[in-house]
Amino acid sequence: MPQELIDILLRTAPDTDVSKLTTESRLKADLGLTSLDFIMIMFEIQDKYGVTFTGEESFETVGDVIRFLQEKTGN
Amino acid sequence: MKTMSLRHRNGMEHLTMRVLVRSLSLFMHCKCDSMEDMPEEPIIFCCNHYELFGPIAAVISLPVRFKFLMNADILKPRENMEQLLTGVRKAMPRLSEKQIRRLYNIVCPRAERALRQLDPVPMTQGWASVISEMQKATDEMVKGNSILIFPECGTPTYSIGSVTEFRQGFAIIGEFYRKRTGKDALFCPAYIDKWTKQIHFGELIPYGKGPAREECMKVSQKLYHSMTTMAEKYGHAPETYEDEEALEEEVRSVHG
Repeated sequence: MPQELIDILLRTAPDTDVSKLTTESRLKADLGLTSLDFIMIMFEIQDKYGVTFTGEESFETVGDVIRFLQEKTGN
Repeated sequence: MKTMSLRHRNGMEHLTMRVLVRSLSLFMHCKCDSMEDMPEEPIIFCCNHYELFGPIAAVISLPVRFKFLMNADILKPRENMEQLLTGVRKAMPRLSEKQIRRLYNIVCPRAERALRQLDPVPMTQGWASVISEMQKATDEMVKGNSILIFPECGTPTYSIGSVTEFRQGFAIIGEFYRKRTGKDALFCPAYIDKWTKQIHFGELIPYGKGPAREECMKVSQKLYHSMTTMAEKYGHAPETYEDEEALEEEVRSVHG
């Protein structure tokens, strides 16, 4: 799990229990993120990594976010 | 803000708007509170939904150049027929199912064409799309257009005069706008009163310089508070639609 992503999660949704965080964790059902949490996470990701969202992405799990970032940043 | 008439629109948008305004104005045009004290810069107008009346009344009545954000499902009325029919059934409980479907099939293709010509910013329901949609809205603001948005969440209310809670994420537009222009975005609560056909404006709410989450929540709460205050002051809230005729009579007697 990239530490930077964990940092973003903790900053934008401080109640997230990162000890149970895996790539399979579902953003809504497992982590309990609200829509505002999610918007803030995306806002931070966009800011930090300079990626843009088209609106057609689908993020169900933490792994989806990581894969998206890997594709966009090449890391 | 100096009021801008429809002549400031151009091309196809201008023509479409004039035709729509002429026909819809007969029934749905609202007077607006004075906008003399409003600044020249683009504003994010946040209106109550008030069934279907709010969006139509706001689009034809607001005397500024604006783009509106619209539920993308409404822009695909044939694909989302069953979902949209739920709203039509609630709004027109006296019509039979056959009448509702016939009416829908007549109105639907025309409404779809007209709406697309108005070039709204489509809003999908997924979380992931909010960021890109708010950026599109920011692009419009940078071009000088105001934004019209309906931020009520939950099940749309059909009770007259009421306002449901507001979403929060849309206010992230304030962050984007600051990044692009260095200015504070201004949100204007706009309460549409169907019965007196009036749009009332609340005090402008600037997007502050605090953390994004706090600012979004603050803007949303202030807008909601302002709207409920205006709803209590101006709105009429009979118990059911059965009271509608009596209410209209009462409003006529009060407002002439």
